[in-house]
Amino acid sequence: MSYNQEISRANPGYLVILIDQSFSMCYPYGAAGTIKAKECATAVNRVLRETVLACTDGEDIKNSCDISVLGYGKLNDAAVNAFSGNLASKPMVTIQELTENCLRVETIKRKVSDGAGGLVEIDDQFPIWIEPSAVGETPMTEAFKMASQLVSDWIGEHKSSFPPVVINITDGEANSLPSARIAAEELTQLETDDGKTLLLNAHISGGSETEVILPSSSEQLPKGDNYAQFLFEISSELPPLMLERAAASGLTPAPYSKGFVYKAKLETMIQLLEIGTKAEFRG
Amino acid sequence: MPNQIIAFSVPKIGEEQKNNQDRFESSSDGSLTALADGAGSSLYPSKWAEILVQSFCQDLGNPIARIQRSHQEWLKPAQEQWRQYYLAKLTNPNRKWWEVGSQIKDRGSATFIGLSLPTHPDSEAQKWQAVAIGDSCLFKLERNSENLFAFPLNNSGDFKTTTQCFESLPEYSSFSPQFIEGYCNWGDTFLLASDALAHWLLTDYENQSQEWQKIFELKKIEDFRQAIDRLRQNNLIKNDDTTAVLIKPEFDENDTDP
Repeated sequence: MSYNQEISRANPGYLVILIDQSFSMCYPYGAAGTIKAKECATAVNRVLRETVLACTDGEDIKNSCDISVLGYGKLNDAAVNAFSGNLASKPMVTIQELTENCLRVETIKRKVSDGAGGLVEIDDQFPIWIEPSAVGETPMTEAFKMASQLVSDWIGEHKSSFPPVVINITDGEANSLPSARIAAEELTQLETDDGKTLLLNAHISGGSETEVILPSSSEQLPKGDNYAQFLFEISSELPPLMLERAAASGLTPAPYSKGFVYKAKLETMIQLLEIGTKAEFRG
Repeated sequence: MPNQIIAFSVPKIGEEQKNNQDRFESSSDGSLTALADGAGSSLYPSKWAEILVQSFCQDLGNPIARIQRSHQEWLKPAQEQWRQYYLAKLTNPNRKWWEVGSQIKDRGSATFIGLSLPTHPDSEAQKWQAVAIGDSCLFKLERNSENLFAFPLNNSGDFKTTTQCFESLPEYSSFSPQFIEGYCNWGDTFLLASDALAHWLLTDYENQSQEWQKIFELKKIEDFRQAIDRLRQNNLIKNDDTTAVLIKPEFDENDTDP
């Protein structure tokens, strides 16, 4: 049976996040009145932080997960490593490398009970690894191809591991649907002994259209919407662990639900990130 | 004569012993034995597991009776001990950002199994008692018997990906534990096992195999390590920290049976 391998130092997981950084990502998104690129970067930074926290018991960081974050949009014909600073030359990093190499740290006050009726105020630190960006077009094909290369190399070293999880966050239509479809299919054919690479797609929208959340059939998509159909078809069916996680987060997945949300609001996009990462990488 | 207690523990594949989050302890007279399995997804779980087993085994009264009266009250001193450990980490000026957890990950969680055995031959007809929370289990095998008694889970299908725990902060309610008691006879063996081993033991027992009985005969850590390695290689046991504590009550054959 597939998708059963536990994530550990001996059998690490691999999380790949693809972020659309095209020009349209500068449009408003979310209730706070900020833009899509900023909200996406914030959500990805939070997910990376939670993933690091999941790889520690407080005493020690365990290299039980490798991470890539790729951006597409800055260049018309290529995806790029979205990490900068010390990680700019490393499109795939270990949790240890990620932990030690953020760009900067933001702090938020948190109060903790001292057990004697008082409160201790501490600074909760939030590392920033990804900066928002919104320029250019949508070379999704190149993002899938770069992910394929990284995933293929990684699988060569981790044949027994839980298969890589790739989460693609986008707000617009790929430059070329036919070539993006081929690249996505090649990516999802790559497999470990525990299953094929999982591809989850979060299509975000700042509009007031109805969201489609974890559809199990193309009949749930807007009629005649070829782009929705495309993203539905390239998305992977969620394995049982992720279905459980989706249900636990308040969603109502069906047995064959795909890892796909369409015209997603900010909260829904974050939920998909949670479903794709929490079940496998966060213990 | 004190009860005979042998404990074995191996970390999950790829981990060092220092990362093993199972903890076990016994009292100096061998009357109390406990095993706790810290949840890897929680904060400082091995510290919490260590505090729990020590609290049980160093309890000068009857810890099971105290837990029965109120497990929340019994947990309080242990929780305070864990909180002080956590506060020391929080207020350390040289701390790393990930050492303080987060608003969600702010406590340790652990399953627990505690066993109380008589130490004196005249003890009330060799009565034993146990307390359990979660999927760490107690097994009892009687002499010349192939019937395996299991508590609190007694079916391999009962093991899930999540389980009930004692929490290291009183702000979070800890589940109520389960209790059991019985009488032991000369030659009985008790076994405390963390979830991976407990799950395999029950699966093997249900399959009417004899392999599970070998765990009760182990004497050396090398033999335990080899047995677990073999099960892991054959994908018969979950890759998890794995602990067995074997307890053989020591008393005269003539003193048994109520």
